[in-house]
Amino acid sequence: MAYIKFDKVGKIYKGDTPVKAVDDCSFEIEEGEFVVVLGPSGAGKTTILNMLGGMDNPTSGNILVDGKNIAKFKAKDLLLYRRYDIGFVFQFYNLIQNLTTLENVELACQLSKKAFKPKEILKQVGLGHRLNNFPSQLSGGEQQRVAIARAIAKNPKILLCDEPTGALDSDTGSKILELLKTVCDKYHITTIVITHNSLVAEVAHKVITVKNGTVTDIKINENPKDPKEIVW
Amino acid sequence: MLLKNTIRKLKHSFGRYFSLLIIVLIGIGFYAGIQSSVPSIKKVQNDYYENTNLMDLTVRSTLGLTDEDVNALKKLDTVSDAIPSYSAYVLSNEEAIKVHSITENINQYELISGRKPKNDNECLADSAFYKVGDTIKITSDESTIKTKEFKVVGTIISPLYTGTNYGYTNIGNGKLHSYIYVPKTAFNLDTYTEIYITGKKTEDDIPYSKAYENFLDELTNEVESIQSEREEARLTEVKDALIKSAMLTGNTNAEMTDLDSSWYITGRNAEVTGYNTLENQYFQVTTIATIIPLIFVSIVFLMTSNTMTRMITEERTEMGTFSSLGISNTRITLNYLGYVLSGTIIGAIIGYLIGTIFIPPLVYNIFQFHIPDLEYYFDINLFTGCLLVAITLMTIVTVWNCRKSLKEKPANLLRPESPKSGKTIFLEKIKFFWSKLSFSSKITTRNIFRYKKRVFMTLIGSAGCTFLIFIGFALKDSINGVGDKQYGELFTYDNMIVLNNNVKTSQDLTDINDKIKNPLLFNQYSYDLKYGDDESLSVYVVIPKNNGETFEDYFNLQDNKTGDHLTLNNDGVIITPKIADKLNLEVGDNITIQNEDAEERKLKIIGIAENYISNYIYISKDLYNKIFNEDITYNMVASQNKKGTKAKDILNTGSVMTVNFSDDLKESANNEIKGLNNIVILIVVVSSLLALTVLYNLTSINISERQREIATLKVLGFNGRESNEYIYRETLVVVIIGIIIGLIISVPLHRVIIGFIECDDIMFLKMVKVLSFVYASVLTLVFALIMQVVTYFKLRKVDMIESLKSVE
Repeated sequence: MAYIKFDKVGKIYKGDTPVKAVDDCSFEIEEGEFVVVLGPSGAGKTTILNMLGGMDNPTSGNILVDGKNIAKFKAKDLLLYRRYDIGFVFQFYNLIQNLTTLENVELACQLSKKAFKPKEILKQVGLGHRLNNFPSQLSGGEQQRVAIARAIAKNPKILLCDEPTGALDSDTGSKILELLKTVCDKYHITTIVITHNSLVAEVAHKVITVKNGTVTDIKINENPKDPKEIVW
Repeated sequence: MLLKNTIRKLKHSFGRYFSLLIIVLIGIGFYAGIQSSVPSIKKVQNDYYENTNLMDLTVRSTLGLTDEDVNALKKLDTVSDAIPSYSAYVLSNEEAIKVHSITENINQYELISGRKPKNDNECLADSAFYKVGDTIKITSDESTIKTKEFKVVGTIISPLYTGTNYGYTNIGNGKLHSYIYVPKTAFNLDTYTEIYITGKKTEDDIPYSKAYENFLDELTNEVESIQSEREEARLTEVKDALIKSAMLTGNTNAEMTDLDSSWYITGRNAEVTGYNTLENQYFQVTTIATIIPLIFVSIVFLMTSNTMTRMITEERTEMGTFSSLGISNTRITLNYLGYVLSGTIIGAIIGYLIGTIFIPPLVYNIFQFHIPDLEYYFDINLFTGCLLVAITLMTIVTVWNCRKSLKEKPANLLRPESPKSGKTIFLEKIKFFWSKLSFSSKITTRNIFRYKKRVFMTLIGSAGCTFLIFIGFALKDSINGVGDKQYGELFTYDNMIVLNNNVKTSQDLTDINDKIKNPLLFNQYSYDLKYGDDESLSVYVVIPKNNGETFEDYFNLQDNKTGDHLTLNNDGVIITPKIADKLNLEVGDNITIQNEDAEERKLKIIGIAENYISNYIYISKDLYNKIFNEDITYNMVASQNKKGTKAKDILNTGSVMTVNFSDDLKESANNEIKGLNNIVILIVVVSSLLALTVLYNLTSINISERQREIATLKVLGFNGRESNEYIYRETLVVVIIGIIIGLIISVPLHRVIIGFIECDDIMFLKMVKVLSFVYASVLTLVFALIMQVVTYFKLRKVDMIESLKSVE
């Protein structure tokens, strides 16, 4: 059985005019896979991410993660799910400006009992020398590294990345992708990257293409490219 | 277009608009309410006195007054009317009541129920104690009144009696219980007991004003100008009458040599009960009304300024858009000004109305004077003043903040203000300290230093709130305790008797000796101690017959700073603190003492003794004797009650003029203060409201500034309590620091305020009950905790999606 299973998931945002953001969406992801969810803006990627990240419940369908149906989770269970199972990497890093590199990671580590040692994780992402710098003193790429370190330090089951390279130039972006891939391989964390950039998709094991709120294509890359090879 | 934008903005950020409005409302409301209280109450008092045609002067004479006296007074230039009347103190059911004759056109009573008397057996009675249909039996042997039993046919309130304490008399238990008004014909007197005089007043001559004082001086002078002539005339008249009767009866005329004809002229201070107390209370409330609202207004100003800054920061993109569209800076500023000023004006108007409608009646309650209802009085000057100040301040804040933002190029404005970057704070350099902190304490500490402005505001808000609540309770402590302290701890005798005639030894007190224990004879007289430029302080000189054990038992003289026991000896005098303060004297300095003949001598001060009511100079008998070379006789006795002794037992003796029981003095001192509770409640309630609004405002700003941070924490899996702690703990820490600062500044400021509201013959306690500190800190802390709850719910509302949004 698949590690993550989206089963006919639908999401309607209620309002004056109800909006169908996601409709009849199904896909599967295996444990340890590096998956890219690809699609243009407004396709429903973020909605999928929100539901998978435990920030929102779907209106219909089931989402099975490691055998549990998180679609039916109450707010309290979702909180624990986010806390222990999910690591989140944001497009704009979302580091706490007032905390140093090390403290940003420590903050996350406090949440989980199975967390890694913050300093070691930061060394892993190549920031062992910037432990006591504040976010404003770091470059964009470095900030995203801190964010990745913060996400994986909790030792989550799934790493969710929302346009992790969106705010970065090509060179830095590919280095971040490389890091994500390394993390995925080394720690066996199922990694899901959401992007509109089809070049990014070339490094994934599996590419799920989303359009108009539904899955239009699922492609398995037999030979994913090395992130170093891609340029945009 | 821009107007539409303003209106939309208003709908959009209703919470902020509303809190701006509320802050202005509370500030203006409290300020205007307190400010208008005294003028409103004074106006009622003045109208009341005018409507009842209250007397300005009263003339009494030892030999009674005649129609000739009345006519002579009426002829005086400044006298508007002189109306004779009869009165007598009588006992009814062992309680002293004063019987007045009904007079028309002066001191007019207000008929509460019933009707006017039709015959000599009917009377009008004090509505506070009697009902129509009651009968009042006069039990004392009174030859001056024909009727011995009156039927109450109407109840009234007389303008001569204000408040609950009607003053003292020399019959019954010494306290005047009540009063009645009876027809003139019910009196059995040849001459009038008093003549009430009203003067020709102008509109400026309102009670307690300088103008009224001057007018009264003039009136008194004129009355005094015919005084001796009338005294002589009356004396001759009485002598003639006596000679006639002596010739008829063949009696000796020995009595005649003792005849004394003198007038006593008194003003409202002596005739209208509570008149003096009112003046002191006006002064105190006016002072409090000036100081405390100032603190309020500063907090309000700071708060709105903060809100505006935040709003303009949040909307800089919009400003940039406008700016890049080519809309002039002035118009953009006007747009914001419209938003702010509409809120300010609405808040100020509602605040003014609420404040001036509801606060003066509350303040009115603390005054003993509450006969007519307080009428609403719209003070156009105060209203426009408040409005103008609010508008000016708000305009300054808005324009200043807009200018700051608009100075930047539109392109820069379109970009968000770069977030405040983290910085190493100096505390981190203190490794020893920093390493001891837990991770979350480090974060809290760093956050405190990050949001300096907001932290500063929180600090001021909570310190100010603590201070205001503290002042509310502390004022009560300081004023409330005075009676107990003076008549319970410092003066420890049970009663103080004023004698009719001076005596030399206690053996002379034959008729009261069996009613009292351990009597201490002393001589007490008063004079005005002059100082500075034409100022004076009324002081009592106390000369005890012996300054041994009994004196020390009754007059607990202790140093007002150290509390050390002071001994009265022949080296000099002991004075009380107010004298030392006003004359700027210390122990060892010399002070000029007057005797009753106004001869002056300089004496050394050997001590300054704790004292709260009146001012005293204590001199030993031997020293007084030496410097003035005068034999001393005694006019007062302090003593202990024998078991079961009542005031009337002492009063009913020939040698006693009046007696004051310490317990009564304590009680009446406490009664006068009771109304003060309302002011305390008012201050506490309004400060609390203000504190809540301020904290709410700061909390909202805190959350709105950190939306993204909060959303991120939630995505990371922080639960409600953890994010609440992360966001709010710094506020809580700052509030606690604020409370501590508030308490620290409270102590000296309390002294300053007490100093302001003290008058010449009262000193308030500097000591404050520990409980007041506790109340002030606990209340403020409770508000902070309430805001913690508010934060909790606000945090729950923050959408996690916020974290995904692009940085605009």
